[in-house]
Amino acid sequence: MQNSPIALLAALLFFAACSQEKPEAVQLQADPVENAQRAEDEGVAYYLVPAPNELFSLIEGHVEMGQLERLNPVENVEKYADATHRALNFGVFATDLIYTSRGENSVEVIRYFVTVKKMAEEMGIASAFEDKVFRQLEADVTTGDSLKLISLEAYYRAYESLEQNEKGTDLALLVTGGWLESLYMTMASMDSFEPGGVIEQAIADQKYTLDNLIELNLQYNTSVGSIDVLAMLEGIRGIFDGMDVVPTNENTESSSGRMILGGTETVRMDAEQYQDLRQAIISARQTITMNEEV
Amino acid sequence: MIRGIWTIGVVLFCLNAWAQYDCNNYHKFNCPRSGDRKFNLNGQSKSAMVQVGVETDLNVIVYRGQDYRISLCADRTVLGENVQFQILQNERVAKQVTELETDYVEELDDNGEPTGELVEVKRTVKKDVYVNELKVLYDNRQDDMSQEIEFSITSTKRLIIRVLGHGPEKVKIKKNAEQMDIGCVGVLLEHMPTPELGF
Repeated sequence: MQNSPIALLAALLFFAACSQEKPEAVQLQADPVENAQRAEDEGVAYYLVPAPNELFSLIEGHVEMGQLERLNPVENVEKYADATHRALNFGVFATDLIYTSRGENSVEVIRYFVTVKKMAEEMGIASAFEDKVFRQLEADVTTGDSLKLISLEAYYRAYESLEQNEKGTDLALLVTGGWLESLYMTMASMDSFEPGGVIEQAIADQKYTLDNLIELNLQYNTSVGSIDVLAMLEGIRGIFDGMDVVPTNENTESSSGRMILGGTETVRMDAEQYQDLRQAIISARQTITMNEEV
Repeated sequence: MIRGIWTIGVVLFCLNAWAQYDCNNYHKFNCPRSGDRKFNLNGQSKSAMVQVGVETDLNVIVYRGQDYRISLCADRTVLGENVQFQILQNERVAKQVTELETDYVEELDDNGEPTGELVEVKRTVKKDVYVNELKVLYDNRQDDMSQEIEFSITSTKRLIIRVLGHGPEKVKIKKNAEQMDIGCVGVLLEHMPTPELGF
């Protein structure tokens, strides 16, 4: 009888362990990889999108990143009552937080951090934003690098928390809102179009990111919410599809001495395609943020 | 006493089984980070449950002007000593296809007047359809089953990191014990701007 509590605990753990949902069963394959297409057809696939800071890192130093008036105002948070708008704008505000952290206005950083934290609570992932993180932010508001790290950490925590809580639709919408906002803010930072320029190339290269983003949205079927997100993204992809991908011979050796992986094909975007893309991004951003001004 | 030991054994077994189904953040705690501190953790790093013999694809984006490091870590007791992995380039390309389409048009009589009947007219149309073309860029079977790789990217790409565990070599896994052939795999991705060498 002395062992009863332990035995009970063991039994509970046993059933908990053995009742864990198994991953989707897939037929065993005896042979190693035979052709490249097979896993897409039969295996398991995950689609990932770089965090917004990666795009900002590419353009930083080439443009003025202080367009704070273009951010989605934090007062708008009250507008987003339905689940689709809330999840999309969670991504928008998390990206705005990352954007502000690259500047020197620490008050703005805190305003956006508080907004993201509030939205996380509404979405049931408050634990992602422990007070410890916020205290660290308050303590480090004068340190630019700390702000960048903490803002990025907030994005990752939101992402991981939605993933771990199996909120796949919210996750896809968060990433979509973040991607659109990062592209919108990048374009807002540009004075003019320069063919083949660093920023223009970073924008054109989003063609590939969008492919993964659409696959992620397909997995969670985000066409059924208050906004048909998939249709919106497919519309943008139509513009990218019109851009040529051309081989270039530049950079055949890496300056770091590491091997270069793959070829050097480049996506070419002309001024007209840029304008079409810009209009499509502005329109999509207006739809999700419900902002009138451009 | 024996019953106590048995109970603890059952608890440990169950905790182990439980842990195998929860791979979240496995890469953070098990994949070795680069010794080069200029490498930053990339948010596309991921852990997943992988079944022996089943390919698992991680679709990631790598940007031009960046150096990357990919390292793998896995539950060796389940998936084997070294996990097989490939890096493939995934490109969505337009292919022109010819399709047969059917139209229905009004039938005309000898005077060119409509008879009120519809007739089938078949025609071929050329259409652009988009397909994913995959190209193998790296295969660790040609690199002594290395579990890590560093490279530079000179043009932005959509890559697939394809992982396949073959299971431990000397242990025959029973086919009816599928729960024993699922283990965690972590794929750690690190990046930094391609550094310029020299003065």
